[in-house]
Amino acid sequence: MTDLGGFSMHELFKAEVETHCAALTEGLLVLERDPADVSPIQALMRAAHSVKGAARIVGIDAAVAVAHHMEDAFVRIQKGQERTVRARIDQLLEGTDFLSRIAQVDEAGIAAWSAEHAGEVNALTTALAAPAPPPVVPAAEPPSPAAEPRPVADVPVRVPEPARKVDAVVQRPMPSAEPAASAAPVAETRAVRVNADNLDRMMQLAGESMVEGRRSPALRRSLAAVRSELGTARESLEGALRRGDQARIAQARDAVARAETALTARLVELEAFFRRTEEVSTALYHEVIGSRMRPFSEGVSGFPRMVRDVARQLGKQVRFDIVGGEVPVDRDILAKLEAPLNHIIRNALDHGIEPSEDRRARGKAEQARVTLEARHHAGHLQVRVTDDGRGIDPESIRRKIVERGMQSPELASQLGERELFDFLFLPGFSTASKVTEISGRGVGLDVVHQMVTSTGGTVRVESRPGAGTTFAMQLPVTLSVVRAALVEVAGEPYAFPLSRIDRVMRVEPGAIGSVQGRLQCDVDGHATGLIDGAALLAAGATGVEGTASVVVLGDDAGRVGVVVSRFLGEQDLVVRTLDPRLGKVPHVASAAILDDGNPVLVVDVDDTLATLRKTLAEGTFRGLGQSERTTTAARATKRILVAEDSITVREVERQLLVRLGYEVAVAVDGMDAWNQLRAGRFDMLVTDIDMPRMNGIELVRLVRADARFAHLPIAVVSYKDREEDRRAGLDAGANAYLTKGSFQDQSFVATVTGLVGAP
Amino acid sequence: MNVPDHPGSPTEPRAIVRADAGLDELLARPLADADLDRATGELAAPISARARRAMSVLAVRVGGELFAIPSVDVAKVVPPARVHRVPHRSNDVLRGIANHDGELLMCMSLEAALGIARADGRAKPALVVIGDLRDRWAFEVDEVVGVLDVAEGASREAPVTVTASRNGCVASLAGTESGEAALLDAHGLASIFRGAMG
Repeated sequence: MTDLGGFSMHELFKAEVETHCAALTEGLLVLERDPADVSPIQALMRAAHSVKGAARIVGIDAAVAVAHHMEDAFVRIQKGQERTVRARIDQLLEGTDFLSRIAQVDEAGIAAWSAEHAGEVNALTTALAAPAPPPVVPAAEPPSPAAEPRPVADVPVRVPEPARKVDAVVQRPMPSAEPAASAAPVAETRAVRVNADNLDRMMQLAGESMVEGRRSPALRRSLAAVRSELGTARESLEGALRRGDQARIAQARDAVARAETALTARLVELEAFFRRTEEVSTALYHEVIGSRMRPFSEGVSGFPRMVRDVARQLGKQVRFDIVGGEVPVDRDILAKLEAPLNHIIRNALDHGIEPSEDRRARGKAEQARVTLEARHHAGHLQVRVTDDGRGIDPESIRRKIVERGMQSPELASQLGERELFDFLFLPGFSTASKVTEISGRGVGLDVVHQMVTSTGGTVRVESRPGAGTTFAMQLPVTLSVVRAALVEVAGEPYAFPLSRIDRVMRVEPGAIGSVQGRLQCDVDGHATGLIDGAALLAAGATGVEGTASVVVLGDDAGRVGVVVSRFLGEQDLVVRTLDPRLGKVPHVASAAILDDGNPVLVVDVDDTLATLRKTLAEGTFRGLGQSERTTTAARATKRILVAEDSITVREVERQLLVRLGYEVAVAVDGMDAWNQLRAGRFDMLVTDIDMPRMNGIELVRLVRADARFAHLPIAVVSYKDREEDRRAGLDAGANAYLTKGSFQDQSFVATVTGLVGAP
Repeated sequence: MNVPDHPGSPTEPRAIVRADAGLDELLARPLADADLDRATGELAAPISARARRAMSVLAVRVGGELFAIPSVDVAKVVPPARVHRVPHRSNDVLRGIANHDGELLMCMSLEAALGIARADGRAKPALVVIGDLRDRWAFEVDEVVGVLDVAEGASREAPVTVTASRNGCVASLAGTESGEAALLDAHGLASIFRGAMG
């Protein structure tokens, strides 16, 4: 196997054929639409010629033969030796399909595959070499009974099976945004296409970043030189001051002034360096994010052919246009869009578009139009599929809603058009009696809804009876960056994607009520049950204390408020998948890295909502109860933990603090104190230094290293009264350092009340 | 103009030439016979014998014990980073994930994995990363002793109470210049870590 840049020649051939076949299909469809327009011929000839050349290099004779005869046919059309007729277009499209298929065959299996398909090659090349079949006036094919259009009211709202008839027409797999997977063994690493310009810019920026990085040692040296100059000047000044040498003092002052000027210059350089570094890293970040983008056309290139084939099968004339093919779309979204668009377009062809005679009768153009459009708008990707068919009658949906008992006739009559159309996206909206072979308007619409909402987008239907229907999807521009609300739960950061939450809110204690012992608050008039974020994320139970910070999830169908420790703000997060070794982590979708470099987990809101109802019903999870509510009044007494190995001193401290009105817990050493701190809730820590298992300095360091206790007041009380001992205690993170003699002079009491406030 | 105060200063090209000449002289000197014999002997030795001669290990101290990890199994040693617990997954062995240079490392507790003294929660000075890119594991250590050689014949079998235990992954006891270290089988260790993923 010959490797070229990590790819075998066969892999390169596959990629090349894929590109050229897309061009062949596109060009042939243009030619078919307007046979007089021979402008695509040149490109078609080039594509066929290129495939022939590539096939020859890898030694696939069958592909060489087919591409050669296709090229000949194009030459004849270009020279005017034959007219473009539909039958020839069909043959050329068959040739294109053949080339696509053979390119997907494994390198090792090519010989066998070619031998097996020798008859097909022979038939294709013979047909392509023969004179063009006579043009056939397209007869109005009598639509099959199954395909017979129905009045809108009879259109099944949902058919739970794919449209078998249509599937039978188009058996080729739709091209996907990624290189076709084929039957080849799945590679362990995923290969993705990146625009060459984009890659070039990334390399330039990476190089620039390295160059910028190399400037830092020079900056460091120049700053060190300034520091040295300042040091020399200070020594000189001290000497001159001792001697009272005015001339030297003046010289030293000048030296300090020069150093100051130099320092200012270095700071300007440093600022420019930081600015430049930030610019380069930001540009690099945007390029990397951009590398995930592919043109919209790449993901939908198979649709024109699909529309052609389905429309012909149904005996309909349809013009299909793609608008905004150049719009960049996140490759993951592009891949996810394929199936929903496939459903929507097939349904439009099958049931949205009327037969030609109906259109004529209604005064519409015989050729129907289906348009697929993509554009960026207001920071979102908008994808619309519009047809000018019969449209959807909202009254037919209203009737079905009542027939199915989903709403009372009174309520159904009050539903607006938009609310009615939303019913189309409900799974199971159709009845089994309405299932037919033909795709209904509801086929796959729940899948469409699911896909769109899973990306944080929305989908809606606009329709006017007799004029047509539009499916409008609004999607995030990229899946790799999410805007998220950052919260803290049990001392750790978590992110809720903004698009997936209803709101965040602070709920005052008075606004939290109780229903059957379960806490709830009001959100837009809806009683919203509260659940403990810490319990949800298996971080113990924290309950509700004082004003609750609540993230509201869900919609009118069922809201819950997740109580978190506090809100940290909003941030754009570059999300990354969780390590696959973890499997699916309940309630967690992905991970990201915060600005401070620490990891954060992104909450899987859909998963949370989906499993919550189940676990609540099972009793394996429950809403916050009244007993988990701790009001400020209920815990007015401040709690202090005293860590001291001497029973005498421990008791002295405890009594002093209890006498002052504090609630006191005691620990016999540092380890005991650490365990109690993590298990309970304390307003202050008083600790000795010399203790077994874990000494006071270690304990203070440990406490300070934990974000939960970053602001916990700590006082060290020790017999050690040397300055270095005091320094060690304060350096470890203590707020105060006292000797044990302080019990006599009231400084202990003053320090405690000063740090933690009145009991 | 300042005069360079030592040869080899970048402002005096001739000094560089002299330094290069000295280096050439040093490298071009003939080998001593003894050195030549030793190098020839090493090259001539069968590969299997050479492989047994010495093994490079990273020696670390964890929970008061000295451990050795074959250097070939060590990806890197990095400063510790804040670990984020993974809900419904974290346990005694799986501590969580930590960011290092943009890579989210799976952080484990070696103490818990090996069933030795429990982590006391003290800050650790280093994070050792083992495995390849697709199967990396990180764990904190109390001290990185250094990269040491384990001489041939300086190892002995680990006690059966270790080798036969469920979480035993000590291949042998290896003599190092810092004392006898428990030589960890990185694959066995990774297997224990995987088993802790829930």
